[in-house]
Amino acid sequence: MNQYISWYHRISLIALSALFLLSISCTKKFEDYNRDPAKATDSLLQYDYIGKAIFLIQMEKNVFPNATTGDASVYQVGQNLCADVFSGFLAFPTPFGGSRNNANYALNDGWTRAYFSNELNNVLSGWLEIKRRDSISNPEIYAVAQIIKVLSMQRVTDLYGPMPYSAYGGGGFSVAYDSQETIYRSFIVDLDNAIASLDAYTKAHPGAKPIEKYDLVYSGDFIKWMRLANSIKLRAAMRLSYVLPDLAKQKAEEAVADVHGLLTDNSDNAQLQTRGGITIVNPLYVISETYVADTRMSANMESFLTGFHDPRIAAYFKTSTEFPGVYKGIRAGIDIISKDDRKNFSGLNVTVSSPIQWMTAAEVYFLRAEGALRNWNMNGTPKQLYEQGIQVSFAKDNVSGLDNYLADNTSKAAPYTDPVDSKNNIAAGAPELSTITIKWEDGDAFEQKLERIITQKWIAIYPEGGEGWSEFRRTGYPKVFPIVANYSNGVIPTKTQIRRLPFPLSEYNTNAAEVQKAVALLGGGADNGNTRLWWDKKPW
Amino acid sequence: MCFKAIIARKIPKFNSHSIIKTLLVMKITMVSIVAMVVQVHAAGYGQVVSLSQKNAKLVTTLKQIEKQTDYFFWYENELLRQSKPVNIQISKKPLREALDDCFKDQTITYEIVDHTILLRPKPVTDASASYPETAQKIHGTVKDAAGNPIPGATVLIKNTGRGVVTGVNGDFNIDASPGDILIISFIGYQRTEVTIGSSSEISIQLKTEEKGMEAVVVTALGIKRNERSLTYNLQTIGGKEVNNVRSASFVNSLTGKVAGVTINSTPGIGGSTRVIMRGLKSISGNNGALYVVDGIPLQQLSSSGQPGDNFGGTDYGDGISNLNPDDIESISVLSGASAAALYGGQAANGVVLINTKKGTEGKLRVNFSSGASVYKPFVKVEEQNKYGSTTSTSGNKSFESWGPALSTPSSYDPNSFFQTGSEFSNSISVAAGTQKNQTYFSMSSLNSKGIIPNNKLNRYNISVRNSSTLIEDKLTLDISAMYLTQELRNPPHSGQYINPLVPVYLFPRSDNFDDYKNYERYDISHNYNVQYWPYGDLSLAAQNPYWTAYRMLHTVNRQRLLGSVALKYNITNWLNIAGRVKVDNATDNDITENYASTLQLFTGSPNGSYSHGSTTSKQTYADLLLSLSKKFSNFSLNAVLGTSVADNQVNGASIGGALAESGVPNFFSVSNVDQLHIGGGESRSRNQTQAVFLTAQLGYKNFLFLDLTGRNDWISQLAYAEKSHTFYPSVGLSGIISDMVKLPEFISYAKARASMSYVGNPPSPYLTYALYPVTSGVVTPIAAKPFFALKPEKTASFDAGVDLKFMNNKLNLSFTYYNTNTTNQIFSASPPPGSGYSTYYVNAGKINNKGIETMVGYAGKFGALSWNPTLTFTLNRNEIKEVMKNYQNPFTGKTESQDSLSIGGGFIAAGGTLSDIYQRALLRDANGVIQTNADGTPQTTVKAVKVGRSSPDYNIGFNNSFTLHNFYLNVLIDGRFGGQVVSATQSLMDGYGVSKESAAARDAGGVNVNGKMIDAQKYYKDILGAATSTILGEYVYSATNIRVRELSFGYNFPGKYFNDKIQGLSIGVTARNLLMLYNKAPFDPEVSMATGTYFQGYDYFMQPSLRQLGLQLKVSF
Repeated sequence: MNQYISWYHRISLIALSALFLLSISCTKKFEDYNRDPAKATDSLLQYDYIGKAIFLIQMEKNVFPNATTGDASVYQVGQNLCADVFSGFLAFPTPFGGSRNNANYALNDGWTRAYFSNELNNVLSGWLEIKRRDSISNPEIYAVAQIIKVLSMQRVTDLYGPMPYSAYGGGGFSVAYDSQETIYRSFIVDLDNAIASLDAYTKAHPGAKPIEKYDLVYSGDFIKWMRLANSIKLRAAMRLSYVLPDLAKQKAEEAVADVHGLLTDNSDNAQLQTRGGITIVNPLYVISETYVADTRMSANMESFLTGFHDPRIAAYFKTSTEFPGVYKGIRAGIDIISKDDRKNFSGLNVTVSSPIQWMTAAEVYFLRAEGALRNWNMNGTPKQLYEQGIQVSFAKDNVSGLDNYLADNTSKAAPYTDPVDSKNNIAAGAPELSTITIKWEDGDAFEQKLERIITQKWIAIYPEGGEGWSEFRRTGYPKVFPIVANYSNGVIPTKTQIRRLPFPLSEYNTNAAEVQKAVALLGGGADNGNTRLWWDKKPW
Repeated sequence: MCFKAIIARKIPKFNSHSIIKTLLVMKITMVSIVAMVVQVHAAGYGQVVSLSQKNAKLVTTLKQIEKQTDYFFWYENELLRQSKPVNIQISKKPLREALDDCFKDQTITYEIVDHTILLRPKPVTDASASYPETAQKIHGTVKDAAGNPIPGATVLIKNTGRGVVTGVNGDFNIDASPGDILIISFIGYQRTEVTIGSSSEISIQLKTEEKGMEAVVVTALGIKRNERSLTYNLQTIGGKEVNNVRSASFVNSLTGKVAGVTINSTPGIGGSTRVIMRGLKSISGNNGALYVVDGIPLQQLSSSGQPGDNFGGTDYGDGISNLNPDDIESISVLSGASAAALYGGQAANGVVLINTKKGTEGKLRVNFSSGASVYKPFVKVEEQNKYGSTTSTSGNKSFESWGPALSTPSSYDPNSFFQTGSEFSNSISVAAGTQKNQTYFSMSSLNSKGIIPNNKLNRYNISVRNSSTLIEDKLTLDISAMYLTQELRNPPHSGQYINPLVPVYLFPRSDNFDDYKNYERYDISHNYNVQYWPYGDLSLAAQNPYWTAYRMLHTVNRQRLLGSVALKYNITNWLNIAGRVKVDNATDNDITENYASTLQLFTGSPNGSYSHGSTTSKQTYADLLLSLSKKFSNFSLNAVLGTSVADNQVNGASIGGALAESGVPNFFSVSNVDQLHIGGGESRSRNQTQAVFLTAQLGYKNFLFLDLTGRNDWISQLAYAEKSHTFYPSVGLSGIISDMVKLPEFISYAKARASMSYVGNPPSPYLTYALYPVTSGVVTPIAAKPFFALKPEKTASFDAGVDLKFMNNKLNLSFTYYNTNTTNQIFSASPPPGSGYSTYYVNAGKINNKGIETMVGYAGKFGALSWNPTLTFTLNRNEIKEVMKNYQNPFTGKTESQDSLSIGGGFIAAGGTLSDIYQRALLRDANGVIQTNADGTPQTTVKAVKVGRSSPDYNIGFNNSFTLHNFYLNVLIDGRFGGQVVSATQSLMDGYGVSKESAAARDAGGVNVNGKMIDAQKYYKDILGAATSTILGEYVYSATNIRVRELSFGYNFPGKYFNDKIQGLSIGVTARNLLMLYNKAPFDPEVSMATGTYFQGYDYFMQPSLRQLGLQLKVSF
């Protein structure tokens, strides 16, 4: 048997070695296999130093959700079916949810939560990358990210109130919320720091545009970014006018006084548009056209624009296909039986490539007009600034008839008739119908002047429903028609209208302890649509 | 005992001189050795025998030889009765020479089959010499219970030692006198005695023998084992049982037939099957069973587009349904982790082992089978026909049916939308071979039409398998290949989008549905036909249902080629080395063509849209196994040392988008796609697992077995992790109690077994390395934090059980208890968005599953009627022990604990189960009283609350097969008890006022809430809501259901009816889902929208399950 043993031995040894070699030899390639070929490594992002600024694109594309070209679904549920409706800008003919939805206060969590996650996941995540990469080495890039962050987060905190802000990006499974006051105070500090960084950089490198390739808003023009920063600061300061009037005044005056100035000309307007290889599709076009009439002119818009004989109406809307030559809006918050009832009302005059408007010079004039009305030093009188606001707005849409418009002291918002259901009408003389006129009257009372400024601002900033709804809540202007059918089960009174969006249910599942604390930060109100935000202090 | 047991540690191997025919009867595999040529073979190299005996009994000599070699004798006692004394004097003679010497003077010859020496009567050359004068020529045939001939059976005349062996057709000729007793015997059958009468023709039927027989089963990696030695539960199903009532995916046929397994399928023809063994174990990993074909794991090819939310998705079917069911020889189900432990890192969810057919030596055998079936919806929706549409003041009709009662009830039945589906299957297989080369070849076709118009599935398979001996007794080669081509047209879409059923079910009662059957109209402004559907999209993305069926075309074509080569070399008679390589290449082509005037939500253009994707999934597997099999006096050792590498690659690309508005409508080509809206995608991934494994089984006296396995996996998914390899051990012990101690007479067999193991579940690739997503040239931040501390999921499993047989093996019982804990769960926690990441992977959690699986079988015979009932019982209790407890977050260092988690659209909480259903519901107090507002309307919960559980309490399958003469009847009744399902379909139908319930409520004056009547429309529409995010907690139904799942009835025509021109013909009727005996849900609770862990027990416009009635014909030549 001996010779067999040694023979077996040899065979076994060879076989075992073969097994061993086969299995050990090539696990080195595992590292290649386990790198996703569809994604870029950090070292690739060193090329052209793209890693320093490329994440600005992601941030800019998500201030208004536009992540995937041509997909307007997040914008639709997050903005168009929320703030665009609550602001009185737009309404829809579609019986979403069997006509039980946000518009008639049957709040849909799937819609109301959209901005919360979109802005944090898509805007702030880009900001975090830039902070990590640039805040020390390239503060000028970080400064731009800070400005976008404040712009975006103001839009979010004005929906919900307290938000995860200072604790953002800490990892872990719970994230603390900041009170809205803390957030607003941080906004101002962040903007001041951003302006300082950009100021230092532009002085050292006049005319340099290091982020040109990655900036879909200003093509890397830092001067304009500073103007935008000052303008956002003014916008934020104005929001505090009823809760911290002294701070509001101080910060507003700082913004106006800053050497780099504000948005003053339409060429300063901050708007996102197709640039280089990156296509921006206007989501309102998609919602209005591709989704076949999922958004339409609102009754409020019809009432003001037709009542004022406002020449901007043709720039904003199309005439109704059902009533040729006539602008016909839809009242928000009604019972809808069939989409066919109103889908042929006035559509939006928007094209696939219309830029997405962030902030305009017109808005800044109206902010200054209000500041001046409040006796803040705004570098102009309320009248001057008010009229300049209208003028810049007309110029933006390239419409004529400014002088007649400014001189019109009789035209008022028109009554509204719903051709489908008279229940939705707003009769002449109804208390819901605004009586404000256009022409500036120095002799008018403060509230009348304020209503005039805000009403004109509301028209000028269309279609930015977020800002429209916030200013309506802050000031009570313009008169946004109350809803007709209220399905909030008594939670949200029709008269005072919806004041905020509830926190997403997902926060109660994933961040339960912190969201409970955040509810306490609401200042006594429950986490529902009737609780006023921190800055929402004007009684009406 | 009639037979001396073959103490074979391995199945007598297929060799050049014999054909092994495996019969599967219930769980027992009988091995029959069919000797085609009775002669002396060259075998037993290296075995030498020394004998020194004088006038010894032959049996003593045989014992001596058994001691000196590792060969065993198998013989009929009767054969030795007339043996002559042995005188032999040999030293170190090779075995065969020694045997030749032994049997030189005997009337006995021998044959060596693997390690067994079969003794048989020597053919009589000079017959007349010793025959009594009264002898006459007797001609007989030996057949099995099914009427198949048994070649190679021994036929002896009692007390004479004279005998013959049956030929290929089971026939024999022998000279015998009336009154002589013939003893007929064959391995695997009961010994039978027949007294010769006056007739010279005799027909003998042998009954299968169980007692003492060694059932040989196929275990992990294709290793064959003696069933008595298994330390875990293994259930075997024969190919015939699988094909009893055919299904487009044969996996469905396992339902109710194996214990410990829960099977669901997605609706429609060609859908995927969800096979869960012993409960859900992984929070976010795969929970489906691993499929293994001929020992080699098969890639899953699971459908990627399955629904995950209410918008829905499409299931394209899975990879396993691609196999031709007629190629299946048998299926072994390894439900426990220990059984599957040799698959290591992918063994946690159990294994379905499929053994395919091989060629056979001898006469060419041709099997042809053909089936034709019709499909009808099984559980249908019920609608009201009393109330008409809601109409607005402007006269526009709403799609809702909350209007006044109709003067004549609506005649519209939504189920009239369904056409009668059909399935035609044809399959032919050929098996033939010589001693050295055997070939199996099959071709099959399946042509199927679904119940939704324009849903089709056509599948064609070709398989070939060739086994050959290259060097006699040394080197064997087994080559096989399978080619499949499949075309799937418009696989049904579940959920809201691209689903014709949404408008079909909600269609307003006042309107005439027939108006929309002509789904398109000529439009002069376009000069082409456009969709006719004046209702708009109802904000449900609804379209004309026929347009969806005929003008939104989605075709998925698959081409798949599998090829394998296995080479085995016998180094010695107790050591062999085998290598196998298998390549599986599947290419899917996915084409979508949406015609102009399709909803722009889906096309992005008035001109239509087009997309084309192609994905190739390639799996390469290779292994090398060194197998050892040795006996040392009372001990036996079987061991396999092996290594394997499995490599999976996916390469895919897709392109498409909206057709350019300036382009040609309805011209479906990438060149016609709007360049601004063109979209493309790419999927590339690769992973590889390398393993070294060892399995060893030590047996003592063939009644006590210790089983050890160990496997070390190197997994590419763990690259960059702290540790890239893992070890998976298992240990098992089994004992045949009935062989160790004397048990009461009624217990014929008793075995106890227990095993423990650690196995894994492979992680997804790319978790360990942070990379930046790039979309349309834009880099975006990392959404998921890289996970360096990644460890594979680990399932620790214990199981124990008994296998018992009573009443002479007529009654058998198998019982297994198991308890598994799955830890190191890898899940992507959805952290709050403020954390800075949208996905966060952790290793945490502990899921416990415990349960029992039981099977009881009985073999009854009442005269000519035989009745074989089998009962399977499956019970599993799932519990989330921990979601995340004191988990040290590797990124922050903080210790974190969390009791609940949102995941995959679902929600889980410690103390609950992985299949809990959370939905918003009406607000109830502790006593279950609905809380109401001042106006009496019910309040609703703000958050989703737990309203049920989609997994059952237990399942029972009760299969009965009857045979009476040539008639057969099989009936499978199975029931699922406990658990809940949710119907969002019902919610929407209520909200739209089309359901039967909504009419009943109107008739009753409303819905009674705490004694107050709430208006029906207010209740169903405003409170429960018509939208999909609403109060589905009120749409929870018991999932308990009992049905007649399978039925087949037919007649087997024996070959003699056809003058043996054909061997057999059977014709029968079949039915699947014949009858629902109990069901309270508005849909079939056994179908699900998706096959993943979540989104189970949820119906949102799912196609109904199918009732199938068919005819089947089988012919064998």
